[in-house]
Amino acid sequence: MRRLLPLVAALAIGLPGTAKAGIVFTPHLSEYSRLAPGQYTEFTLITTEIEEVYNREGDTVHVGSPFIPPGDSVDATLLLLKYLWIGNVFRDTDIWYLNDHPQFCRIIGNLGHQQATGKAVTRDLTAGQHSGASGLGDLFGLCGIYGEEHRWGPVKFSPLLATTVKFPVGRYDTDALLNTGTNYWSVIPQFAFHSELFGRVYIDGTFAWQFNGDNDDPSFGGLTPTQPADVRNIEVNAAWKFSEHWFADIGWSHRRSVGPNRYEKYSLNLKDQPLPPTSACNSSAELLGVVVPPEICNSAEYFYLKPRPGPYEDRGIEGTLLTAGIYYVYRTSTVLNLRIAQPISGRGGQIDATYDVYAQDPDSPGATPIPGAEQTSTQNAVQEAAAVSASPYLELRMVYLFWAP
Amino acid sequence: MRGVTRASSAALLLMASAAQADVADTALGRYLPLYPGLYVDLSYAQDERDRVFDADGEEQDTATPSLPDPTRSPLREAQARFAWTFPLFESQNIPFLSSRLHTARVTLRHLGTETRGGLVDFIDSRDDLANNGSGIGDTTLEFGSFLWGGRDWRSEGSTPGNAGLLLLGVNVPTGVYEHEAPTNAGSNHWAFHAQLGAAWRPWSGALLETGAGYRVHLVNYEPQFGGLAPSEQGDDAWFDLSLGQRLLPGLHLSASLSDRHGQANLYEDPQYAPNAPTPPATVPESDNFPTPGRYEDDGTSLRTAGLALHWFVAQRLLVSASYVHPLSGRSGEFDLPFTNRQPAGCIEGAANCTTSEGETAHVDGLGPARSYASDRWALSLRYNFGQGDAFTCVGCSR
Repeated sequence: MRRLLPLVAALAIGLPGTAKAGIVFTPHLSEYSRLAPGQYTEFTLITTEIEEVYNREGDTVHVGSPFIPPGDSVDATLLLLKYLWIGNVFRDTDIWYLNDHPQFCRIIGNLGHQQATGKAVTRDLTAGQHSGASGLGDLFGLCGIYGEEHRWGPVKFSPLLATTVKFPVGRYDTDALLNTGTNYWSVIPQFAFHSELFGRVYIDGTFAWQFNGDNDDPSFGGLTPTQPADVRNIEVNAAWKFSEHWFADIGWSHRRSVGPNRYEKYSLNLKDQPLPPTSACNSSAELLGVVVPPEICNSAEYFYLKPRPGPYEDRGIEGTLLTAGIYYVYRTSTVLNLRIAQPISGRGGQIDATYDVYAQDPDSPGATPIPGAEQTSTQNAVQEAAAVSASPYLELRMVYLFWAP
Repeated sequence: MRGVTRASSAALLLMASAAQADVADTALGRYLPLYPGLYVDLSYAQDERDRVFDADGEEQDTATPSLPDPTRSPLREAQARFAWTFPLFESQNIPFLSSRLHTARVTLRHLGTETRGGLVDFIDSRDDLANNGSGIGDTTLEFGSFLWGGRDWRSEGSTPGNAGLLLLGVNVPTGVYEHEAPTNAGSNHWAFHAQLGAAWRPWSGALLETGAGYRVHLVNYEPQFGGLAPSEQGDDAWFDLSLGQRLLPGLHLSASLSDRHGQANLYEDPQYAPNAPTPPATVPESDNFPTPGRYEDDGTSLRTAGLALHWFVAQRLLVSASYVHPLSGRSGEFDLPFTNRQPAGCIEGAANCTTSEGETAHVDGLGPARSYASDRWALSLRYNFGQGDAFTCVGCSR
């Protein structure tokens, strides 16, 4: 049994580092327990069909609202490959504290596929944007150290400190609604603890602060933030052991940005311009939410629309979700885990973008917008730092011990 | 030690194939239960993909018969497959599950591909197209149960042969997919498959295997190269047969056959075609575009034969080389009507924009609609990691 628990615990140390807009950032059974020295591998499949998201009011709305009707979705799948090392490189030294507290390091690679469906694809193509992404995601690396283990009767408690760095090496297309990479760095210091009661109840919790770097090349017409806000994360998980083979858990996870996201390079626009009078009003309304005044629409031969780049700010994001899962531990080498997560509240990023209307090419010398014709359009911010899903996701994991501790 | 020997023996009977989803897996020992443990396969394959079978089944010296100049899209594929064999819920006495061995497989890929020849001229003529989408490939996840032949794996006298396997799998489209490229590492759509196979030892040192499978493809919401690849790939059915024979201790030779048939592929609203008809010269300042709609080819097929040599370099290490030669097949092609438009580039519906029925082009379906007639070579290496338990005795309970 002593062997089993460390293996269960190997499931997910440092999940803040894999915070993919709430898709991965969840607690797990014995996530922060002190493990036996050794090397562990983990394979995780996460899949979701996002039909609903949170708007800036905290209301649940369908994906693409109001630009596309209900019924379409964003389908996302993430494959995580993790390698964990635990040991003590200072064991034979005289360095205080480090020589008797084991350390751990972890590398997390991921592959992803995200694809919008139906009318979302059609709309995005009209703006010269693609609606899908696949390939390599960002790389996460973390290192940390275990604290003292304490025992008070039936209670066992142990803390740890860790820091995760997200390396933005994932595929990133500036002309895409979705991306598997984020194109900005993150550094995430984290405090966590693991506690056991009577050897039956396992509680894990953590607090992490995600410092985000800037993104100088936003995607999807600037609807990803150029300055993603930092994010605070709090999570806790409680598990019950039915037997040495079977566990079940429930968890709670909350994240909230520190202030708003900032957008400084907004450029989403209709690809084919100028717009002929007969379609200018309809196209701009359907695709951008911009209602060109009819008197202007009917008075000129062609129109151009051009957005103001900003800066804009959203109201910040937040998301809270509940998880529930079951675990099967096969001997000491394999753990299988099935989990479902359900968002219960949240707030997504939206901005009010301003469009100017021109009677000539906006980039031509001396071009000026038609006075009084500017329009405001509320746009949904997208991707990791700005969108918050309101749809459940499913997670299937397998932990495998390549080499015994 | 005996367990290790048996594990190695079983490992000999499996070889990783560097097969794409369009080429049936005919690896020797694919339907046999291995001794519980982890087996890792690393393989490399190359295919010039410079010939295809056209829609009439005729072999053509180009990948795109509709273009006057030959095109090819050479492929280099590296693959890593992690395959576990394990009992499941042994102490739970769950019917079916607890009494047999199971297998789980994860296959990761990296594909290097490019477009050369005639199609490149068309790509270069437009600034919104790309030559290829090379990189990480799709990921295949599989789970299977040995229907027979995997019950008494702990007994000393059991032989890992005469077995049957039911395998269920899914293709996760994690592969790189450049929407503007004619050839890609990824497929951008999910696919699910079921496979049933059996293995039999007809005489000493021989292994005869046969199986069949069916694959269902889900929608590709953004098919590549302006929609010239299917938005809905037709479902596939395939059959495979192989015979392996030990030549010398540690050296095996196998021969294989495979046959795959794909139902009609659907294409939705293609945006352009490299062999588009010329706009009518009689109408000044006009152009044309593919008439929006759903189009369908007549399906695809591919029949191959293969040879492979397997050599046990060490007890846990197997090296294999394989060669696959396509015998016959059929690619997807369809007729694409065009609409003439005047003035060029005008938006349909605008007051001054007029349209009329244009000519029709016969175009090649891309992506999974191609059935290549070129040979494929592969090298693979397999290592048996064993069970990886903290226990010294594999199979012991605690």
